[in-house]
Amino acid sequence: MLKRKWATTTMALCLAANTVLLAACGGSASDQQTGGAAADTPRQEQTGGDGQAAASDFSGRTIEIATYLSGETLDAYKKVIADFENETGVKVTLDEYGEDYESTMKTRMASNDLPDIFETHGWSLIRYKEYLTDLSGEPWAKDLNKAALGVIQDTDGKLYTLMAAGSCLGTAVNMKVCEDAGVDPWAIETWEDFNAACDKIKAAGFTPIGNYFTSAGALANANGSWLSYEGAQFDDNEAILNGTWDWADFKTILDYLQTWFDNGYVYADCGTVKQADLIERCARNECAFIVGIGTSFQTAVLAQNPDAKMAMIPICASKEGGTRFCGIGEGAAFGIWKDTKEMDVCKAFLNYVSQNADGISIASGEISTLPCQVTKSYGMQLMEEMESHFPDVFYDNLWDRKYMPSGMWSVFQVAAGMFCEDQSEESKAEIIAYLQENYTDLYEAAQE
Amino acid sequence: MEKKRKWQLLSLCIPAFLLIVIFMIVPLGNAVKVSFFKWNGYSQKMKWIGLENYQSIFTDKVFRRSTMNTFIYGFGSTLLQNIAGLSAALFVNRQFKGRNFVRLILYMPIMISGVIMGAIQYYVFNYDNGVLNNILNLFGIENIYWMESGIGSVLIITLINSWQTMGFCMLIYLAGLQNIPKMYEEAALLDGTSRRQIFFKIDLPLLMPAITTAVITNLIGGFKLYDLIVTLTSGGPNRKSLSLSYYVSLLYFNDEKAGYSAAVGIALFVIIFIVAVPINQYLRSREVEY
Repeated sequence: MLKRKWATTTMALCLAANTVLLAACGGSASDQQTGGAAADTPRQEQTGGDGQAAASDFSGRTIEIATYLSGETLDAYKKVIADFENETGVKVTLDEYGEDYESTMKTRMASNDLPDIFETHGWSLIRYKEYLTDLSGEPWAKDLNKAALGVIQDTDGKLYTLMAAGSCLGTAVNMKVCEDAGVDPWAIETWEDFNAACDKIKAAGFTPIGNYFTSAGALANANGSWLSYEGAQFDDNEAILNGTWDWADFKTILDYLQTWFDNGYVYADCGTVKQADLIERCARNECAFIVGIGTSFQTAVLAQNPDAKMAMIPICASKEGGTRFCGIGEGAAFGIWKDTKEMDVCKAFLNYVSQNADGISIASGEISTLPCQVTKSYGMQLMEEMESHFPDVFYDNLWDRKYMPSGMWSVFQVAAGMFCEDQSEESKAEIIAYLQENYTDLYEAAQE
Repeated sequence: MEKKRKWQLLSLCIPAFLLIVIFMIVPLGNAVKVSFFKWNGYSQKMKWIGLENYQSIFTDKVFRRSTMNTFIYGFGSTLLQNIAGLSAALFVNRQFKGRNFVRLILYMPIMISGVIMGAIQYYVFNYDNGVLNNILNLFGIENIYWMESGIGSVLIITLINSWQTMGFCMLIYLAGLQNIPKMYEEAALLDGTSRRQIFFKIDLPLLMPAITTAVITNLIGGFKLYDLIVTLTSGGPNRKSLSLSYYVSLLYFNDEKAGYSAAVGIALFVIIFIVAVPINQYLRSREVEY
């Protein structure tokens, strides 16, 4: 009896402890909130907007930074963060979300609880603007080059992100394969020329095009040359942007892409292969071109095979005399949550990054956007080499980021899978209907 | 006194009840709410659209395909896992040298996470330079594109999932077999019963509680299959190897259709409920006391 009573008392104590624990958890959260609200009165007024001037006053302050960067780029970013911490006394909590970055950020946006600083990875205007601080008044803003401003500046002149490195997206070229096949990639102007080069490469026993249809890239990144730019087959920009586009012209793009399959330019497993495999195949000098890919691809190929000879050419024009272009996207780009309690520290941090972005740009293999970037990254070298052959290359924001509503990338990805599986006329009609339906839906949602 | 004790015992359920409310009931309620809205999943603006998301389910081809795949993953894996698990349990229940080592080997795959297993198997079934194709090349056979079609990918996923979780079934059946008193078998042997008859007439009926546990656990696990698919096929080719769980995640995080994603999630919940409850009841009705 005594034993049972003891057991009951113990269980009751455990339960009580559990309840206290739960209450304590809840209590601490609310305490933090109320306490925080009192203590976290925006401190910008104390230090001024610049942030840098008050760097020595930041001891004991903490900011949270979220990142999707990985590998050497992340290491370079971590070094900048560590140096900033040492110089200012700020404690930085770095959330490395990796491949889960987008989904985690969407969840955090939904709960309106974002990190103080986060990466905008091409979506500062379309997706994240609602949650970002205007940074157009920051000292580094005027130093950003035109390529960067063309991508991140809003129509009203506001800037929501510090683009520490830019992504330049063109056609990756394996020069060794081209040389072996007797192809001069610098002579390619139109898609017709491109196909003629592919025929030669195929005849030489290589795979001409390494594009993979598990990504939206093949269906989304080259569209500008058909639909949007000077000398393009169609002039659909206005309709695309005002939501009235009927997608009928997109069939021309699908008809062209069909030649890749009909002529056997692409890998048999292009519907399931992953980018990592293609980097490996390109490093083994098996394929010649990847259309619509950033310079980080060539950097990755080089990391696997230092003897590989890579280059970049612009995305072809849809007809003779048409614009040959490269897409410029946000590479490592950092924005500040508009409701951060540590606005001055965040601004100081971005200011610090803007002065120390060289390492990040080099590690990522992407292109420079700031004057501090004196060491030429591999991406920058590729871009300059390309410009020496194509001085008239046209740069624009990534096509889907400029012309499509947020959410279309994934729709293109599904469409790419559909197309890879079946290139019949019925399938093309189905793909166009699918794209149109989702475009209308997402466009309407973006207007609400 | 009795009443007091009843309340004391009931109070022990409070932590579990609280956890269920916080981590299941509240999110489920929230999912039901979101399913009536058109929402991109991150904006602070949501638009009420009533039952539209539920109506869309009936015309969604990917939903139909994913549901079919989910059933294949659920029932296919359950069948294979239980047959293989029971066979393995019968094998390792016998006395032989190295028995513990064999048990460990058979159980080992389940200790690997689904994500890692998927990544490993991707390099086994890969078209170019995949382990399996490299072996075939040694015999002069051309590369086979194992995951070219949706059904090929679905079957490969089912096989890998069955093999990976077979060890769990084996463990359940092993525990069940060791709980069966030896006297029944001995009595049957004295009566001249064959081994086969002992298995079907004694072991199998007495294993029913273990079968119920194994079948229901595997069925629900198969219906919720996610991680293995993510790293092995990413739902491809052309979203043809998706499970409903993965489809829910893609709809929410990739397609920015959070409302529709919630509706599909609710549909998945209903499907699991409708399938698992009657099977559970049927299996329980077959259990015998001993």
